[in-house]
Amino acid sequence: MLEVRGIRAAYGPVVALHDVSITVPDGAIVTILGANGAGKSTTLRTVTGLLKPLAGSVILDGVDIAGKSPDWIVRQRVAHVPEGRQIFATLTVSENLALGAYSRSDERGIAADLKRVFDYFPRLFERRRQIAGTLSGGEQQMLAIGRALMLRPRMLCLDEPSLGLAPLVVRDIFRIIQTINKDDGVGVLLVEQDAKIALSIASYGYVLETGRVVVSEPAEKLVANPTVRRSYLGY
Amino acid sequence: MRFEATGSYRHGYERFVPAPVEMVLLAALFIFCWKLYGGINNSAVAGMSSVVIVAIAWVLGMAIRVATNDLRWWLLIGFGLAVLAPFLAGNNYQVGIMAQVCVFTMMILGLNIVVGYTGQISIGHGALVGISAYFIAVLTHYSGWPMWPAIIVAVFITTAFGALLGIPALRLAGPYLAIATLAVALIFPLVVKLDQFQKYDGGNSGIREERITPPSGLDSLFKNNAPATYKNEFAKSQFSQQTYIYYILLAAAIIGTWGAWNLTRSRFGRAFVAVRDSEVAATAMGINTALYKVMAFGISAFYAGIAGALFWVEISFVSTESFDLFNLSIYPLAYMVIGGLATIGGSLLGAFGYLWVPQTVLKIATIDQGFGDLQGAITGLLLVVFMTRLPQGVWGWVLGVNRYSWRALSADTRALAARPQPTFWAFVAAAIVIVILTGAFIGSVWSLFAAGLFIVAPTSAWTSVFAPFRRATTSLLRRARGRPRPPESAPADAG
Repeated sequence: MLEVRGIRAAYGPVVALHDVSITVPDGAIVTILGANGAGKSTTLRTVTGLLKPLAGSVILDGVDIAGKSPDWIVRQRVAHVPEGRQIFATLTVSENLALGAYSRSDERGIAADLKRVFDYFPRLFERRRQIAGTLSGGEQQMLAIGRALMLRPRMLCLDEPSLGLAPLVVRDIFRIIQTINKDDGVGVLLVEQDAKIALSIASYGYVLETGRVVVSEPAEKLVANPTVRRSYLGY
Repeated sequence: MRFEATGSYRHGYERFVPAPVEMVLLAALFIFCWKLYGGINNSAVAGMSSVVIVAIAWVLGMAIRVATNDLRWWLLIGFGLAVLAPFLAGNNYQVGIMAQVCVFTMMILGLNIVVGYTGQISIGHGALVGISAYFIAVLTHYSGWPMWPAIIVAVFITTAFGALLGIPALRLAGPYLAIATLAVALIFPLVVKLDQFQKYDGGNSGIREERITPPSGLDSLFKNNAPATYKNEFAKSQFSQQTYIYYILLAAAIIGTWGAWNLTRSRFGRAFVAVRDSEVAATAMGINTALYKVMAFGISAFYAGIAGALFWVEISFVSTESFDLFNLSIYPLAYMVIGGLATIGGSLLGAFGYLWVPQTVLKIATIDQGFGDLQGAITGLLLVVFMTRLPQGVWGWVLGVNRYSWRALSADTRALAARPQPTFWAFVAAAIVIVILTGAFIGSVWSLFAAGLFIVAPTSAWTSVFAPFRRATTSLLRRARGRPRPPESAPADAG
């Protein structure tokens, strides 16, 4: 259970989040929608510790993690798939996955998770010795998600997994995200531009506008919400 | 370690053409011929022998390509040569150069950890080597410390200083970090030369100490086995001392290489590369990027500190001249890139290149007559060639392109014999004719040069030079035969 309570965050003098509160119940997929610059990624960055909030708190299973260092938060098994994939381009697929388990030391658990990742993404198994920079965009996104799974996360934060991918590939990736969520009940916080596909797998959605939550509703109601339909779904 | 063959030599006769690494060998043979033909007046004979020599170069080139298929042999041969070097070299100067190679192996290994693996540029490493060497010098000369404790203290101080040097890396990147570290390299000699420090560090005149001498057992061992070129007792004792020092340095370099090999293949090594490839993702993996950057600088400075200590053990003399910006900061960086970024093998090759390339070229060009400092020009040229043609450096070549197995070679030979390729034989014939003609008319050196150009023509930049002509010819031929040219691109999609 992740609770973001009234966070305020800024880049230098520019305030990006005014008062954002978001709840991700255990085992749920929650999506944050919004236009460019609305503060979606910023919210994610404060959750994963890349940005320290000026005010408010981020409660993970009763513990306030706001303002803690990113490596401490990763050790609480909050995994972050950064925007634009950000794989380690000169390393092999296997080495990338090994780095995903960087903060773990239980060899046996890591081996089991590696097998699990290869089960989800057989493509990565085929290409395990390949240099990651030579993978296609979709494969790179799979690698980025697989790398995050190597942490055996209790929270999976995804920043625009559909970025720059073909619609067919996006559908595959979202199906896998859904499977992962169902299989081990990991909570997913999903930041997405593609509102339609995000709402198809999410149970709850938030819409941000210039650093404020303007709508928060269950996904099926959000799809029917006229403002959302007009602004983000385009019909 | 046997790698699967990858690379561009996959088709046609190009596989029979020595790859660029063999060019080095060819160049060596050109030089050999230059000397050899000094006495031959009949240039036709000279031209003919050029053909033979080029043929030998070709065979050796192919042998190298096959041999690089299994790198263990090279490791073994390299180790054997390094151990036997003092007894093979025949004079102390060469043993001294080998010792310097050990010094710079340590330095470039350290540099590669921070620049190659962690991706943080540092031009200040000369200063780190200097700081270490100077601390040892001052402690032994002015404070009367024994050498080994002084070395430990100096390496410790250098490591700490290097970690401090890493702090700018937390805020700066790319050219800004380069300039910040450059400042350190520039300031170091100036600080040493300050009048106020004159009485502590010798100022402009530097510090000289007695070099260490081998224990008597080793001393007599080395003396008794000295090569025949060392005639009298004095020369033999010089040899013994230099050899002893060389072995200390060699041992340090081998341990350092082993350490760097293990470090770069450990969890640490992967984390360094992660910081280089994507800082955001490294953070998302739970890597403390700030800590790792400072650590990379610290480890790198530790290597530089050891290099400084080895430097002191080898020549027991320091002055600000030895640690100037170009000699100890820029050139090692350049040769590290030429050797191969982010590889251990590349660091070793870089250390060799740093000492052997300028010296060899100066010697060949015979060039005591006022060419002055060619080193900068040669290094610059090499750097340009490598950055444009081979950004992975010599080691990248050895690993990637330049491999070939006996089986593939014999299969190719059989294929060529069964179905001769006109282009290949045309090239060979043209090369022979050109060698003989140029040999007869303009002299042997140029004939070899021309032959060399022909031999490397299909593999190197010449392909791209000739490509437009080839395209033009094909299109002319096609037009002459009355066939329409295929469209440049598909018509724009109306939908």
